[in-house]
Amino acid sequence: MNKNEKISKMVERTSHWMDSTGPYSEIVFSSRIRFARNLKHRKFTVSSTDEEKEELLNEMINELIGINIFQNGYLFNMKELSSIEKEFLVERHLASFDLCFESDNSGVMIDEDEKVSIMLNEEDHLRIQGFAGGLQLFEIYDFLNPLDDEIGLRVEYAFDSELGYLTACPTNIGTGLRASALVHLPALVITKEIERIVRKLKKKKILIRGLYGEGSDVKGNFFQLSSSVSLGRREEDILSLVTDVVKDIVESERNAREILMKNAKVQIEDKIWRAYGLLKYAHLLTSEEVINFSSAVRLGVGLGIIRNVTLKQLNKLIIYIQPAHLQLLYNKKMDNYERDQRRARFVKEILSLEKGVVK
Amino acid sequence: MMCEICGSEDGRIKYTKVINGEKIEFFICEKCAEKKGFHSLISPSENFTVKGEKEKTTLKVRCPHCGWKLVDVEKNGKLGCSECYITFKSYIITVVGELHGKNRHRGKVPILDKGKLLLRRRIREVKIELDDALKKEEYQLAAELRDKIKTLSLRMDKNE
Repeated sequence: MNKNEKISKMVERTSHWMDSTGPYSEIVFSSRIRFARNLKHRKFTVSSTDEEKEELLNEMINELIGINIFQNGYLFNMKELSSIEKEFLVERHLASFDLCFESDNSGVMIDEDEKVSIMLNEEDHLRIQGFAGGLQLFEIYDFLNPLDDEIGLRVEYAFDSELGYLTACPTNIGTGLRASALVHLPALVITKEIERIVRKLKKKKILIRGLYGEGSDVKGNFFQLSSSVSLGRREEDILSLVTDVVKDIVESERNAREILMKNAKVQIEDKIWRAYGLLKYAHLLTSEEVINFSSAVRLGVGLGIIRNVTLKQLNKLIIYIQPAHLQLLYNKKMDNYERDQRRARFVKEILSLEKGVVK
Repeated sequence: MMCEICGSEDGRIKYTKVINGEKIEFFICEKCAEKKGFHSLISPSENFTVKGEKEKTTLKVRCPHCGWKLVDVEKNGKLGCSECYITFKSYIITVVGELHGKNRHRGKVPILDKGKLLLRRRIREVKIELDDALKKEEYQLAAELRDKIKTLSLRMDKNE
């Protein structure tokens, strides 16, 4: 398969984690785990020359390409990707912005179902990531941990018995593990409860971010919650901490929704149906509008107010309305105006589908 | 980092916007973020600084592996290589203590099979030699190398 065929195949299929079948998926969009790993006796990416990076990239690809899960998967060298194709990977959360745009001597390996992506020559030599829909941190760990072991047999990791896995930034040493969940909290935002919750989370050393991780803004009431301490705790303890925190938040969000429906039923229903109407009938839509309106529709689906739309449809919507996805889906370079028009048509098509027929 | 709106020293919040593949970043303080109506709920970017007195001698030390000095570590907010953890140990211990508390690693340990690793490395090297021999049309040598790869692969399979 050449590069274009690989990208087309990905565009045609939705990622496994967009399926919305995981626990708490009406509130938890997705879960993610990553391991930060480096090779022993090698400079970290930040201090390496282009030649050193390229040599290491080739070495890592050679060692990892034989791993079973990548047999039908994808390997991309950043050198061969266009700017739109790189953005596509970022929009899909399979690669970070820095990996794609900071240097050409980097790459990413992805399995066919898009449950695993390994970023090569990011801040650390290897960023091994696993994804799932809903709250499934332990489930991800169950498939990611053996993969990490297998990679550790193929390349020698930089490791210290006291400091654990050695990483470019000391924030990640120890387990090198970060566990995150992307949660949708519209009712907590409307009731302003979110501020109290954020204060509580900060005390528990949980990081709060927007849709696209570090440095990104909060959009569509989506919050990314992740563990910040990586040293001095076992992997299972970190997973439990984040899982418990997320379960608590799900409970708070459910309570807030109940209160809203008790005290402001008409206003909430109005907000939800207006958003639905705009998504379904507008002729021009920006990404930001779709993210915000679909947040209200997602709330409506969660509350059982909107019954002819599934979470799967909404998941697909929020990923595919992004600029690179839209342009690759229609195989056409488009300016802003054309994109807004095409986006509105795409949203209408997705929302008009019968329940459950999203590919 | 200086706030890019009011100029105060507290520009800890990083905003990144991606417009047609171009990343635009700016740093502002929490107060300005709130005034501007930006969401102040998100955590600031992770960074670390090396605090405390630095001895003059330590400032001159270069990591023998990557060649970085402490000033490079501070400038980049990252270490240059895993050996830097030893070279700049006293400072790293302070940083690690601030970030993670006085803790030791309690998580998993890599499963290491040195023998297998070396075999794999040897196979890779011989494969490169083989490619080279084929390019130069040295078929006698290529055949020998191919046999060598076979033997090494068999040894590795036995190891498994």
